[in-house]
Amino acid sequence: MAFLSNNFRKIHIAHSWLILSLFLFIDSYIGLRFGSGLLSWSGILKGDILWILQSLEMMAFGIVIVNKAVKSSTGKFKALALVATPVFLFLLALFTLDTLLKGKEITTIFYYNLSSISLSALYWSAAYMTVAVGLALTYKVQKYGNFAQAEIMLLGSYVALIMMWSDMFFPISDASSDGILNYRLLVASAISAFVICGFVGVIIDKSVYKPLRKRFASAQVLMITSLGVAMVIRAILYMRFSAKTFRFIPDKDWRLLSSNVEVPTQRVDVVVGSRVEEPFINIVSNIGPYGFSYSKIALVVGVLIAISLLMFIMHKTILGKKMRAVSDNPDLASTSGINVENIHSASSFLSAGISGLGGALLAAILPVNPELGLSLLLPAFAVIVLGSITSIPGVILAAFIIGIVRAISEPLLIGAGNALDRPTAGGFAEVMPFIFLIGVLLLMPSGLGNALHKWNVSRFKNLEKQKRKSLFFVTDLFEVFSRFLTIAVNLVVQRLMIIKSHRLFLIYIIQVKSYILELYFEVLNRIGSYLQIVLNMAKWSTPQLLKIDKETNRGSWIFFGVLLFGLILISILLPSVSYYTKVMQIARIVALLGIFSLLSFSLNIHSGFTGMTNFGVIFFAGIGAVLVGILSAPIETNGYGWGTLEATIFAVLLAAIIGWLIAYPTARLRTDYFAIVTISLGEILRISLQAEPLLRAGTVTSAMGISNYELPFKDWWNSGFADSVGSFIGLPGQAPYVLLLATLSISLCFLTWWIISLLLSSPWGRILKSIREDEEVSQHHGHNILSHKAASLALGAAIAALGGALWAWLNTAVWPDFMSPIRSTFLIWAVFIVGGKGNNKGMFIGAFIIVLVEFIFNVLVVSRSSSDLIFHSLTTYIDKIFGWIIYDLGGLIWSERSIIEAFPKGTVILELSYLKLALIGLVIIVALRIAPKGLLPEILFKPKRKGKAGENE
Amino acid sequence: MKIKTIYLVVLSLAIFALAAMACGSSGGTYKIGLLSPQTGPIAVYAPGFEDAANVAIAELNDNEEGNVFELVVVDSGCDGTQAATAAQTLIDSGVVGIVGAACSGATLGAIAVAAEAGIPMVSYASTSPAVTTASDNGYLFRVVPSDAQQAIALTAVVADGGDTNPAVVYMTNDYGSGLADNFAANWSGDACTTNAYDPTEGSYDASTIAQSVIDAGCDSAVLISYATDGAAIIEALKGQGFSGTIYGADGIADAAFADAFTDAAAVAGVIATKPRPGAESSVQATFNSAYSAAGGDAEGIYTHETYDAVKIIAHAALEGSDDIRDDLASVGSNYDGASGVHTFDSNGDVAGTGYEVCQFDPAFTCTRVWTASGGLASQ
Repeated sequence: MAFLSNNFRKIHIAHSWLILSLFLFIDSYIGLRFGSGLLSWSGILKGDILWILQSLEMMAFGIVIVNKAVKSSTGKFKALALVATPVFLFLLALFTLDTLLKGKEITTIFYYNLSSISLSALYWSAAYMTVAVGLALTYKVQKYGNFAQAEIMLLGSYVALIMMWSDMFFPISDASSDGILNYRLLVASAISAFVICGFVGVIIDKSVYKPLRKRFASAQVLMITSLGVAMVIRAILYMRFSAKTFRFIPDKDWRLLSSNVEVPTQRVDVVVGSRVEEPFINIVSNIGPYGFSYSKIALVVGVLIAISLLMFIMHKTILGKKMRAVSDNPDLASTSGINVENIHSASSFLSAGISGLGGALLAAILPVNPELGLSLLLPAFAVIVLGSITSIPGVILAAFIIGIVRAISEPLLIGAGNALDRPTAGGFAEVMPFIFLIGVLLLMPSGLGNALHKWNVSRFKNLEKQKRKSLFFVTDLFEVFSRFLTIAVNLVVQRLMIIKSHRLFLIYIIQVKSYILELYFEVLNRIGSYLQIVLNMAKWSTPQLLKIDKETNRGSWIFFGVLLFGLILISILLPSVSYYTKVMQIARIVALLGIFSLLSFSLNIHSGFTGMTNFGVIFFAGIGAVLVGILSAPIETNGYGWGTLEATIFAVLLAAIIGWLIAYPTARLRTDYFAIVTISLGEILRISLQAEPLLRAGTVTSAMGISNYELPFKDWWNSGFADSVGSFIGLPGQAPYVLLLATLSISLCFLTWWIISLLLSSPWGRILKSIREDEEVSQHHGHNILSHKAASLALGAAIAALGGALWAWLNTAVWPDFMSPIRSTFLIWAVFIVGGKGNNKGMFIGAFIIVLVEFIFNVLVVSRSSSDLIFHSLTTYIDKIFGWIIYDLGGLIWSERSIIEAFPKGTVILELSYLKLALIGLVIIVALRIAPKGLLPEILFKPKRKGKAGENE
Repeated sequence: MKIKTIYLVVLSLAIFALAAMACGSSGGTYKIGLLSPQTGPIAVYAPGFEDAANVAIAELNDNEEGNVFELVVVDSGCDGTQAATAAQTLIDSGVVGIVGAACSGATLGAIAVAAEAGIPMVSYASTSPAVTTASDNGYLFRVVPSDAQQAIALTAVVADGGDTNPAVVYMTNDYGSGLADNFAANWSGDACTTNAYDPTEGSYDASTIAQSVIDAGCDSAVLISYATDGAAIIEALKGQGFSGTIYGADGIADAAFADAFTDAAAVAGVIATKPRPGAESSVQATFNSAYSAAGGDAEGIYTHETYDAVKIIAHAALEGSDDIRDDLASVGSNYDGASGVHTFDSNGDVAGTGYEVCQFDPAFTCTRVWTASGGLASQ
């Protein structure tokens, strides 16, 4: 041994990577090809997991090589290495599969239909661009990630539907096919979607974001507000158009089977695995052409035209110049006489407009329903991160790259899935953009866009030398045109006001007023007597509360107490039918409170104290839930038959290790990039849960989902303890098991809270905060940033995994939908921002609010059905007002036909579930408006000194 | 000001809750809860479920004099956590039984709550085998058979069509993957190619899927989808010149499926299986006419099952013995429903009474049946 290690040391350290990669290559090769190698010899691993690990080992070899190649080369070679990397990795993936299939003696074929792949890539990039360009523009000028961008796009689709149903255009859509493409409706829809969505964007910006900007709200607050806005828009679309699917038909001829351009194509068949005489690559040319539908062409062309116009505005007009100025430095722009608010309006108009236009064109391809936008939102974020976030050309390039990645990976996944008994593998195509993005960020931590930016800077330097021709004429023309447009719009609006104010508007106002009055009296009747008491209480206590400074330790605790008291009061007052069900209800609230608090604590450690924007809460929670589920499911149903305790400890430790390991390649990424990497990890795990058979347990047929796993202390609880608890709290029989889970969950929550507060008040906690405030200064003080970040990630991951395990027990089954970010990560983020980042009391209150909101609004939702439920009489008034909005107010905008399409039964009623969605969105928006720092902001340490100490934030 | 506002918001919420406590009594009425996926991935089908449930409630109120039935609808969100909270809300508002949920994950989340409260659940669309094995204390039932049998019926139909090399295209949810897995297990040879996609609009490209089927040289395609995505893929297949037969399952086996097409020519020749109604039963016809008269959503799926589930719970509640599980077992024995003749086994599952084999030419006709004992036969 000594001889070996001495010799190893003699090898220059620079070559150790070579030995490592050679070892990885040879070991994985013999493993895959001949079933030997290190992983097989150990004998612990069997079956599918063995070759999965061996394949990963082979890919790890590739990554070591690539990493070395990129890092050690410079200049043009570096660029070459970067470009060659995806090709190399793709070929390595093919080689891995080939070796694996040879080992297994299977053959499979990847069908690369050249036209299909390139046109599909084109379609995907256009679809991603519809959302991504708007996102990038908002990021550039207004400096926040807009989660509502996909909903704005969807609004564009619905504008197209409204246009189609209008009396003017319906004949075109309804006419039978005549063999001639009619462009009128499509073009009119696209343009009106652009204008209407643009104005909606401006209205949202002025009403929601402007007040926040005035209070210097952080980008994170704006982002979470946009989450609320997204919920409200989606809820409004649900309310107005119902959940139904509609098809936008610009003219029948657009949507016939024959409505496509036939593109001649060739097919490259890649034969992989145990080949007998067949060549590796086989080119087939005598195949039918690929049909690219007219509507897809319209999307691609429309989106590209819109983006070129945007580029023109950005780079060749005064407005664009101003926008770029505001983007670079708002304060400087403001002092140079630019009206920053106007620029914000222009930017919101353009970003919402382009997305809306894309939405209208996309409606001609896809069936439209209110859930359409979400599936494009996360890939669009991936696109803008790849394209350096704020650069429009970068976004275009990135959209093409990601489109190509997706299109190329699809045949590979289908072929490999068929051969390896994983037919669901095609589902992974959805996450290939994320995997690709993570790969890119690992190699180039500053992103693709940075490279592009550097290149652009040098190009502009060169351009400056040759004095370019000015385009004053065009810019002047644009200014004149826009002024003319403003005057015209004003005139029309004034004109309309004159006509309407006399007749219609007056009637409407009187009508709505009477409805509201009726509603008001109804509410008063119901609550009048309580109101007086409560108002008195408020009058008595408000002045006291106002004096409290929430940013001191004492004030924070008092305010926490008040809020907690209010929330507990509401929980107690929630209606129920019997004492037993009330106990169940409270237990469920407490159990969820514990889980959501744990997840928010985890996020608070990552994002609140260490300053890493973690959007992968559900990734770590998912590790906990999935592992606990699979490990403690019975062996005969693909589980491992562990006890819950071992499974939980293992899951928590593994999550911590994964958190630790993730830190090293990712912690140096800038915040937005780190956010997209973590959210991608979550999505990858979610899709794996759908597609990977190893992540299924609980049934003998290995059906999707994880179920049937052991619950903690269940047998002990049922063996008599439930009876004693039941009789102790006065229940007729056994106490429900959820009571045990609630106790477990809240105790673990408090225990964790206590441990975290100990850790954070230790020197280590102060190091984390110093990293959050300024990494470089912290590093100068001698702290190893990376290892502290890794420790923080590991700790947070462990807590999240614990929360995930509790969640799995509460739900009794883990399904892929469980990991959908809108139901987990985004909610936890809402807790984090609304509660007040950097303050665990805030996390607890925020979690309580988010949990309780669901229960409170559910009471409203069920009220319609039965006259003895609370709020039942309110529903009548709500429907009256809604009907008035749809028929009388909305009737000015949309046609009768559009109402009948959405409400075919002739009665216009407001589905209260959608109202609930809107109200949850509003709670987020309003809470952040009231308290942009969160309900319980971080208590900053202020040394007791005179003067200006502690002011410097 | 800030604090005051929050304080007032919190207090006014408390008032609402107080008011809630004030009322809340139950008369001689039966409330039946419906967990409907009103938001989330399959929100499109929620209107159909609710329309069908309302048809059942209207019929019950007409036929069962002296009793009043009310449907309490709440959003399951197609998600375990949200469905469980929703089930708690339903229980808090005093339902006698819960119809639902649609998504298997939601059903399993909700039953954990319902079983403890002693409220039975009858699912109308959860096909996952995990529903069979759930620890439900006997409170979980379903009127939709698990996928295994339909997969066998599909293999028989495909083989009967003379196709030997079918592609299998399916959704990555438990309905799609369950049916596809079972099809693959029962099909005599290997599938020509298998391809899975996420049915959420905007996450798949129909023409890529179609091209993959054509490139693999398949002679037919078994498409396990819902209506909207199924139509898109069939249109793409036909648009790319695929000439083989397309087979589908109960997700598309409905006359209204043809409405999902812009070009009606595309649907011609599609063959699909669906659960067979009772042999001499008029229940299905009655439901169909009542459903369309009530303006029910044309693209609805599992509407027959929803209707049956509501009625089974209502009848069980009327029996009124001490244990509602026994009532459900006695009602659910040879129950002649719109979606077939149902008998609950000890797991609360139904075996089904075979499948109808239907064809769009382009009118929708069902001329053959498949039964476990007799195989394919003409009707």
